[in-house]
Amino acid sequence: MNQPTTVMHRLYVYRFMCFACLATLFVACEDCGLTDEPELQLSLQSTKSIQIDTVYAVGAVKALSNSSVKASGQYVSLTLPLSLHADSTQYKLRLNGRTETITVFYRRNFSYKSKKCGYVVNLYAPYGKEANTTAGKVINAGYSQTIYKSGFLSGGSPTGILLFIGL
Amino acid sequence: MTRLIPILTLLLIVGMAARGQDSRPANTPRTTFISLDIGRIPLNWLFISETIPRGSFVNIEPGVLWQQRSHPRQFVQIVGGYTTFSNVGANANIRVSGQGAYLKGGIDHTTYGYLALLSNWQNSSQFTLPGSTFGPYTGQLETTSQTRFGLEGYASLNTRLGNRWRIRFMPRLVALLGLNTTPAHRLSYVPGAGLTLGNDNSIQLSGGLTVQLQYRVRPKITPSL
Repeated sequence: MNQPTTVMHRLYVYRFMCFACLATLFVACEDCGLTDEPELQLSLQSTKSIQIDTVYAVGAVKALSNSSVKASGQYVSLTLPLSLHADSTQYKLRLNGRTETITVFYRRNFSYKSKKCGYVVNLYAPYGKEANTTAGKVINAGYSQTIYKSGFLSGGSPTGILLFIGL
Repeated sequence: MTRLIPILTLLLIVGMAARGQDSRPANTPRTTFISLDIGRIPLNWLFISETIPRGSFVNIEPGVLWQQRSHPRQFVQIVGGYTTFSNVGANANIRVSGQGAYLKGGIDHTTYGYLALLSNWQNSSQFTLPGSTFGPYTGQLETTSQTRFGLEGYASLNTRLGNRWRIRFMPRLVALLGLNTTPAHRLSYVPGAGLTLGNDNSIQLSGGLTVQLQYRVRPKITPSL
């Protein structure tokens, strides 16, 4: 007679525990956005094969990692760090045997977010030229600002720049 | 600092007026203590989620306690203090340097007490964002002058160290109200209150355990008229 009641009670306890765990996850984590420099998603497109051997970021104190440097194919996508020290970052690429220069311009906006996060940065489109290159032509440049995770299930995205260049 | 002077004067007057409310005979010896804080453990240590801001602090907090004739276990106390601090972590990536002064006035009931606090300080802040490729970026924030009003309550465990000295272990809690300040400049260290618990509300909490050393000034007997 008492067994079903006990089972029901246990179920309620488990449900309550699950709810408490989820609530803790929702409340405990405040997303502060970037944990390193913002990134440039550089896309190069050509009718011929593209061969990139080296990429050098002007002003960098550390060489770029190999995984973000070597690439080949007709469509190449690179993820490169953007400098927070200035409103532009310049990259030199060894592209198909020639040295090319790509300069990205942006506007840094530093703002206070919260006690836990302190100051955060967002990148915006500059007033004027967005990017220039000695290789090919800039097709499009897009600037995105940080979208913070508002809960356990909702995804966020950091601030950054998308740059398409046609060779 | 100039706007602070009238408030500090008012605090002093209130303290002196309270002191003047004695009804004991004028010739009764009245005990006076001189106090000095010698150590503090901030409340932040009790909260795991709270980061303990690092930095260097120099804090001098002398005070005077006058026994009330009407209530022998009750003292009127006035405490003044000066603090200088550098490179204190205010948030995850903000560090603050500055200096400030504060004044406290209130009643000490030997085993507990309460104080009103007025703190004013200037701080210059800077924030640092990480950068593994180009190096970390440091931005300077404007130098600001800030004021906090606070109410402090404490309990006190007193241990005598001979005839004149006593040491007090005082768990304390301070509620701070920020005046004309923006969240970005809310410091996690308020002179006179200590490290504050982290939130961005206009009311901040501080406290911890204070170890205070007191020296009893020999009672001065006033001749009766």
